[in-house]
Amino acid sequence: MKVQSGIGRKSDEQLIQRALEGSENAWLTLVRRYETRLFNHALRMVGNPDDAGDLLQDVFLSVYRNLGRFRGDAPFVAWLFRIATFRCTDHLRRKKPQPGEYEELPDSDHRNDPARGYEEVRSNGDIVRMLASLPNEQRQVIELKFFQNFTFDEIAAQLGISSNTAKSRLYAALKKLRGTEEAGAMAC
Amino acid sequence: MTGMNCEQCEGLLFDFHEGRLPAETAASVDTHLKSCNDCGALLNDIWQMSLVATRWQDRAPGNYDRGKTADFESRGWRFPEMFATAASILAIILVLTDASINTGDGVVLQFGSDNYLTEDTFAHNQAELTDRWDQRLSDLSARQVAGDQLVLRSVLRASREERKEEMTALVSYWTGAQAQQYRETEENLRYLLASQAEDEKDIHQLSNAFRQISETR
Repeated sequence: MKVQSGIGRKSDEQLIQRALEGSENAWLTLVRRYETRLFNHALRMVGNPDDAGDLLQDVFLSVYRNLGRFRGDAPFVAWLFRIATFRCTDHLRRKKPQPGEYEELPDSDHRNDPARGYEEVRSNGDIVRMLASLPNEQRQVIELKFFQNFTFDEIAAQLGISSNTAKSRLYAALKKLRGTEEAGAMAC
Repeated sequence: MTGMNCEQCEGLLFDFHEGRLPAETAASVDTHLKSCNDCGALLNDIWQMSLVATRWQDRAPGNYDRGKTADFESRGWRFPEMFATAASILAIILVLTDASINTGDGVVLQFGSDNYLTEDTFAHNQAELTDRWDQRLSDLSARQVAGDQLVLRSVLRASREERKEEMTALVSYWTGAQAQQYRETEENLRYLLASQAEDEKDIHQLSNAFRQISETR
């Protein structure tokens, strides 16, 4: 899912510079480059398309207003996801998911059973429900590692934790999901 | 790496899964996995979750207005810019209306004026300024010349004194040398005269001796 650079394609840093100089076009190019990736990230994190859309708007507005503080020490995408993850966490802290929250996302076999084996996790709805069974801290590392392909060092930098802690959270999440699966399998 | 424990194995599991470990380390992890069900299960979880991630179908953002992701309008009218613009407009108004402000402590700030500079006044001022500068330049040149002359005179005087000392020394040397030469010449003449006298004496004696011998024979 990493964005590759190509011939004639402006780098993130070039677009940021132009946007800082007042180019609306450069900013919108940057937004178009990351909006889908960021929206789907937010969707997996909060589980609701409307909230994910609102978060997307908030994240970009926040990024725009803080664009002058971006120093380029780390890639722009890492900085972007750091802000996005922070916003998602803040959203979840304020608004706990309610039963029926994920009904907008279609289930692969329309069973309302949150605990099933990996093999049966096929649709977006299944994935969101599976991630929702995890605490936010564990969901973050699963999202950033498996869906965004960040390294443990990058994840650690984004979450403000050590690389080892990021690994521990990831393994704890996987063990928890396995336990849920096993419980689900037994229930079936 | 032999005898790997679960903690060490977990630390390397992702790199093992992604094929990033050196062959020897990968072999150690593999050996551990064959004998450890927990780590084997964890590797299976990683593999399964990676597959799950590939099943996600990206959705286009909904309920989202791209145009509202930035407030470009507000960027151009932040406080410093607004303040600067307002101050400029106020200054222009004050000048154009010839406004005056009494600060209350005897100072009156006068903006603008009826006595605008005409072309004649400007030319007159410019000519006066040019004259003043010419005069200053002339004074400066005179001072410069006087200074140069003073320096030159000092240099010449010093040079003349040096030459006088040198000439005195030369005359003194020459006088001494001449006196020495006179003395030597005088001595030589005396010696010559003395030699001539002795020679005459010797000749006289020889003549007498020769005469006596002749008379004897």
